[in-house]
Amino acid sequence: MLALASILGGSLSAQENPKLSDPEVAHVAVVANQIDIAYAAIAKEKSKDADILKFADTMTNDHNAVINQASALVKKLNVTPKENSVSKKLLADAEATKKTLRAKSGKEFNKAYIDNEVAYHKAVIGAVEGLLIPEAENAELKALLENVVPALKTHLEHAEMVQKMYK
Amino acid sequence: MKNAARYLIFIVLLFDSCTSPADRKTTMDSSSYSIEDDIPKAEEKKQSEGKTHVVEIRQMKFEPYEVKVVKGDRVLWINKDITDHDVTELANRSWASSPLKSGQSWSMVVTESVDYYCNLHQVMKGKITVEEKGN
Repeated sequence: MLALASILGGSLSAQENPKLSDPEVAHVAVVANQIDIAYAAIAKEKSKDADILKFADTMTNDHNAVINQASALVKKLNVTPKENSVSKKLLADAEATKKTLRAKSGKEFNKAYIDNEVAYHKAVIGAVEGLLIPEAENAELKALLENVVPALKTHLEHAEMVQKMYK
Repeated sequence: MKNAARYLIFIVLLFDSCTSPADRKTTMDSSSYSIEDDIPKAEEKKQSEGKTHVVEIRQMKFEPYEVKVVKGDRVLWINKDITDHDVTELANRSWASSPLKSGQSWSMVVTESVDYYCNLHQVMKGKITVEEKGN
């Protein structure tokens, strides 16, 4: 899981930032939200823990709300989100993480899920602040991304709170 | 439309008169009003001359974090965030609003100081402090 954070953090926020057009920024934003919804779906399928299930529900609802906002905006701006190297990498990493999660069960699953939520939100916050916001040209797209950061930070804090129960 | 509105108010008053005073004095009268409710205004006047304090929910925060009220005042929460939120008593979850979607609001009359949080985002917290009248 830590590897995921460092790969993401390293490739998306530090040194050589890839150049992204607004349709590409939009695609990364939507994919990043979809990935966390997919993790939550696995949690709902595999966990019986009330705190984990509640957290997963919140992730599903909140990330869907962000996707709805992003979809409304790209429609308004008449932009079609475009696949790119960053969104492809996010999806490839997520596939590997989903496999690891699916292989676990019980307490081990709960711990792996919440550890990954902490790592993933850290990585996504890094990517939104370090790459997507600076790359976004359209003011409304930039504002939407800036608006999402408090939610991501709250999710991270919440995940860290739940994580303490599984130490 | 006007007639319909009058009829509605009549029904509400009728209902209200059926409630015993004891019911009305429940500490948190949150049950009867919820989302986007216009009707409390009619009752508010009768209930007390209490003020209404507004707490806005935006960017994962209750703003202001703390509201200072006089016993019997009403607190109204408005969700101006992009995600759903609720308002839940912190210590024992003794009362809670239903989830509020973006744009929805919920209110209740307050009779005691209380800490509360959003049960959907448990790190989001707020506070109501009841102060003595006239001080």
